[in-house]
Amino acid sequence: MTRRILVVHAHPDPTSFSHGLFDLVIRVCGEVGNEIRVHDLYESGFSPVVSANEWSLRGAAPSTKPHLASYFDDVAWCDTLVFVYPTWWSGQPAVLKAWIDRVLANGVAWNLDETTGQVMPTLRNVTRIVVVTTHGRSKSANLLCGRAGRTVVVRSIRRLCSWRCRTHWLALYSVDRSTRFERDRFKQRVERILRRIS
Amino acid sequence: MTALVVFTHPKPDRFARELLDVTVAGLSAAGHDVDVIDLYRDNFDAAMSPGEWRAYTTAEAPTSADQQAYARLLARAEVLAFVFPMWWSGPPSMLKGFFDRALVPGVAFRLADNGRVSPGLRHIRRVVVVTAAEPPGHFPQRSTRQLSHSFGRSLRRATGWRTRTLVCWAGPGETSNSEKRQRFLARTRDRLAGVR
Repeated sequence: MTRRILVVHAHPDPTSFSHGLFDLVIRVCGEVGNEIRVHDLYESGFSPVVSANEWSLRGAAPSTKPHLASYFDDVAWCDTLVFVYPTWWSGQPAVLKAWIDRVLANGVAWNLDETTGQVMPTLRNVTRIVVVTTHGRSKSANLLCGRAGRTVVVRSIRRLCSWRCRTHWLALYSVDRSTRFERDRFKQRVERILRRIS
Repeated sequence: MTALVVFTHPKPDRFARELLDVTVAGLSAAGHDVDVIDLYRDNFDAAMSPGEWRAYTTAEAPTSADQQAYARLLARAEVLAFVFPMWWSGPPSMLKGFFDRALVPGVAFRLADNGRVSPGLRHIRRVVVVTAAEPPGHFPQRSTRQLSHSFGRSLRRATGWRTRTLVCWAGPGETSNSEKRQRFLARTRDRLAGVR
């Protein structure tokens, strides 16, 4: 089955390991005839903050934010979300957090039920979420700190998607001290999982 | 004694202002001189630039003016407080940018030659998190609350293992009901007045 894959990437340095993972994801996903769209947030100069204007429009229709229209379209189009980023301070880099804050907006990812005040998810098209990330610290240190970035994806974003959406968390821990062998093995793992789901 | 309050809100409404005011009032009552950083008013650039990333990996001290100004404020703080709304069970990207860009090697921690990390902000004895679930009732609230707790834990890399964290968390009940909100604000002020 061919999939419609949206890859979201945030890393300032195009020569970094994280960017290498991004290139790998693009290559593997493209091989088997999937459709891919890419949001390389640093390359496109995505604004890292929710502006005061956007905040006052948080309850308004997506058409009031024409500068984000192409991002909204891609999110509504895809059936697989792939995030590739380095974990900093146990969360997403600010630019990627801004993508989550700004693009997963009212009318795109959720609607508000007027009577109950609850969020009604609208990203029913998304059935897979894949996260490819690197942690500077060990897995045990991350567990101790509560894995804040993971909570944002597997609880908050997952909740907006299809009820049968599956999440795949592919993380390389202690990347600063990792050997070349470990990094290559991680790349193979990413490749294997992506082949399996696509 | 000095407390540093980092405030984040794109367009502070009445409740956001009140949260900041009770935080400042509570910490003043505890005998602190309070510095306030308003990230949106400072027009802080939340995105780490490629040059800053290279400086981070080579553990050079920060060079841009805003990083240095914040580093000076951090250097004299003994209490570090964050006031912000929770979005998608995480801090707003602006505040995340403060972590990424202001808490860098040479300020928040030092890297030794053998790769070990030692805290650079040991003088910060208390971390305070004042946050409100926003918009009310939207998201899994239990994980949101856990997250505000985990905030202080990951900061211990910068502040040392003895730093204690105080979390004042307004749930959807408090944010939507004005009577509960007033009670929450009064309780927050009292709790912060005990932060020494």
